[in-house]
Amino acid sequence: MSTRIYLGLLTIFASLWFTNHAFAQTSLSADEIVSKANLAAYYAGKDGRSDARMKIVDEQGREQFRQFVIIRRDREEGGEQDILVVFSRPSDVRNTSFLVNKKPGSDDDRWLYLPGLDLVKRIAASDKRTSFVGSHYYYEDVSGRAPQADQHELVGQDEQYYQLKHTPVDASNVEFAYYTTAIDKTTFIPMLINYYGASDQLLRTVEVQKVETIQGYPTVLESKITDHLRNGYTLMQFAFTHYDIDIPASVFSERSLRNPPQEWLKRR
Amino acid sequence: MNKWGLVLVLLSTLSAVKAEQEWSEDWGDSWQDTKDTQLFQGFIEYARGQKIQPATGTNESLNELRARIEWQDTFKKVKVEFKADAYYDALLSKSEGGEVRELNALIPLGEQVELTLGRQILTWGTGDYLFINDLFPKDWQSFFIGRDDEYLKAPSDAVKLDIFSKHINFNLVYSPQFDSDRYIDGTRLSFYLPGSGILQPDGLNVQRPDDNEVSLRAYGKLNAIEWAVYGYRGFFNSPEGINTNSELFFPRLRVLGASLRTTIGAGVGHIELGSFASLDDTSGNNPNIPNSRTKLLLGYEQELVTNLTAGLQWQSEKIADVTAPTAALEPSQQKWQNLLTLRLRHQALQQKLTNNLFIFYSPTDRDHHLRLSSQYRYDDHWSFTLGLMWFEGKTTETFWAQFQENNNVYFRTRYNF
Repeated sequence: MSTRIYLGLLTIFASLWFTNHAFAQTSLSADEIVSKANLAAYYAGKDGRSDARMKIVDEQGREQFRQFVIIRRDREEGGEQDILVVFSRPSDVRNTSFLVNKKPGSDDDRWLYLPGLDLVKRIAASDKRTSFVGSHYYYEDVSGRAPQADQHELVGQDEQYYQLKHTPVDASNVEFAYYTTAIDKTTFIPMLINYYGASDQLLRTVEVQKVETIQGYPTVLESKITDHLRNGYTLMQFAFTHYDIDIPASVFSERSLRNPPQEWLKRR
Repeated sequence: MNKWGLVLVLLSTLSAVKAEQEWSEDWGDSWQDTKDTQLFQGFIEYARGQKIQPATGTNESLNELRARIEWQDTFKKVKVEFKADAYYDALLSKSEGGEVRELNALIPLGEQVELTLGRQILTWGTGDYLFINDLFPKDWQSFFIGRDDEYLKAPSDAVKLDIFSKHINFNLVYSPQFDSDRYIDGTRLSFYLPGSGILQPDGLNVQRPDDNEVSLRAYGKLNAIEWAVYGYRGFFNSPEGINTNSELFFPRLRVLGASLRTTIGAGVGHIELGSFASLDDTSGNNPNIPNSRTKLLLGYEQELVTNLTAGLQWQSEKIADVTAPTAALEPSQQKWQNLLTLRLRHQALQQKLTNNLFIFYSPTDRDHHLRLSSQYRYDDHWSFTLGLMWFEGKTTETFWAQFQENNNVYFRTRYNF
C-alpha cells in the first residue's frame, strides 16, 4: 500500500481523499488504513517542489488564472510540515506568498505576505472552508482535512475502485452532509469525490484527470473541481515536480516570504 | 504629460496587449515563466473622489489617471526591483508627474546576510492601520482620499542590512536623509490649525531636518509566538513642532519598543509597546514640541462566520509631563489617549467581492473615522472600488474631528496587466 503522492498542494488537492479513504486492505482496521494512507499521501519524499496553476471558470464562463510555485518540507514523518507558496500570476498577486506550518491535530500557523505594503500578515487558522485564492478549492482542500474529522465507511468496490462514504463527525462547521470517493486500487489515488448536501443534492465534485509516477511516487498532475451550486469549476495542474531536493528548514521563514528563495523555487 | 510619463504609459499599454495574448494562449501545454512572456507588470487606474458638502476647502479629493510599471530581475543573485507610477492629477497645479516607488538592489552577502540598497517600501510591527514601532514614512493623504492601501506606505531611500540566524534575526535600516510622512498639508484636505480653526491652507511653512534616521529590529519566533524588539532614532514623522521662527518642524525622536504576535483560540492576537522620547523637549516644558509618551496596542482578529472576519484593537497612549495645553500642532492634549479600532472584512462571489469596514474611535476625544469600501474584482484584469471616508467628532480640534470637512466618496477603476 504504497500510495504515494507528491507534496503540497498536490497532496493538498488530492489529499482529502487519501487521508480519508484509502481503505485498501480490508483486513486492516479503518484507523490503520487511514493512518497508513495519511503517511503515504502527505509524507512522500522528505521534501519537494512543484509548479502549479489553476484556471478558474465562473458560471458566466469568465476565466481567471493563478500560477504559483510550492515547496514543502516534512519536519517529521507523519508530523508537522512546512509549506511555502509563491504566486507569479496574475499581476495583482505577483510575489504574494503564503507560509504554512501545518500541525496535525492542532491549528496550522499561517502567514501571508503582501508585497505592495511589504506586510507580513498572520492569518487566523479558522477560516478553513473558504475559497483558496478565489478558486473553487477550499483552504481545507489545501491544508488537508483531518482523518478524524469524518467517519469512514466502505460501501462497495469493483475491480478498479474502492467506493467509500464519509460523514463528518461535527456537521456544524462544514457545508456538506457527507461525501463519497472512488479510490484507485492500484495507486490508491481517489479519482472521484462527490460532496452532498443534507437532501442528497450534489454540491461539489473533484475529478483526478491525470496521474503520473514521479521518482517512484504516483503524482496527481491534473484535477478538476466543479461547484454544482454556482456552476463554476477550477482546473488544477502541476508540473516540474521534484522530490527529495534537501530544502533546509530555515527556508520556511519570514525571510522567504519577503524574498522568495529562488534556489528552491526554480525548476530543476 | 512629461516624457517619461509617456514612456511608462506606452510601455504599460504594450505590456497589456502582450499580456492579453499570453493569457489566452497560455492554458495549453506551455508553462512559460512570467519573465519570459511578460517583461513588465503593472496597472492603469482612474480614480475620482468627491467631498461631501465641505464648508471649507476644495470640493474634489481625488481625480487622477495613474499608470504603474513593475519590473524585477536577478543578475548573479542580485535581485533588482523597480516600480514606478506616472500620473495625471487634475487636482495639482502641476498635473503631470511621476514617482519611482521602488528601485533597489538586494545583494546577498553570504548565506546569512543581505543588503538592500535604494528606494524601498518598509513595514514592520503588528498593528492594523496603527503603527507604533513602524516609523517608516506613511502617506496619510493617500490614506484619507481613498487610494489603494498600498499607497499608505511611502518609499524610503535607505540602506537595509538583514542578518539571519536560527534564533534571532536583525534588520538595520539607515536613511541618509530623514523621510517624513506625507502629512496633511492642505493640498487636498483641510485640518485644524490652532487659533484658526479648520482650514485648508495653501501649503505649510515647514522646516525639514537635514539629517539621517536609523531603524532597528531584532526578531524571531519561539514556537508559534513571533517576538520583536525595535529601536528608532530620527524625527517625529509629521511636523508636530513649532520653532522660534513660527515654522513647523520635525522634532527629534527616539523610540524603543517590542511586540508579540501569536494565535489565540481561533484567532490571532498581538501586543505592541513603544516608548517615545521627544529629544528636543525631554522635560515636556516646551509647549511647542510634543511630549514624550508611551503607547500600548492590543489586538485580536478572528473569523466570525465563513467569509466574515472581525478585528478589534485597543491603543492607549500615555503622554508624559502633561501640565497645560500645548500650542503645538497636536490638536488635543490629554494625559491619556485611547483609541479603539474595529475591522469587518467580508468576501463574497468566490472572493470577487471584498467589503471592508474600518472604524477608528477615540473614547477620549469622542471622535471617530469610518472607512467603508467595496471592491469588485471582475477578472484578472479589471477591478472596481467604491468607498466612503467619514470623520466626525464633538469639537473641531481633536485628531479625527479636525478632518470633518473632508468626508468623501470615491471610486477607482483599475486595469491590471
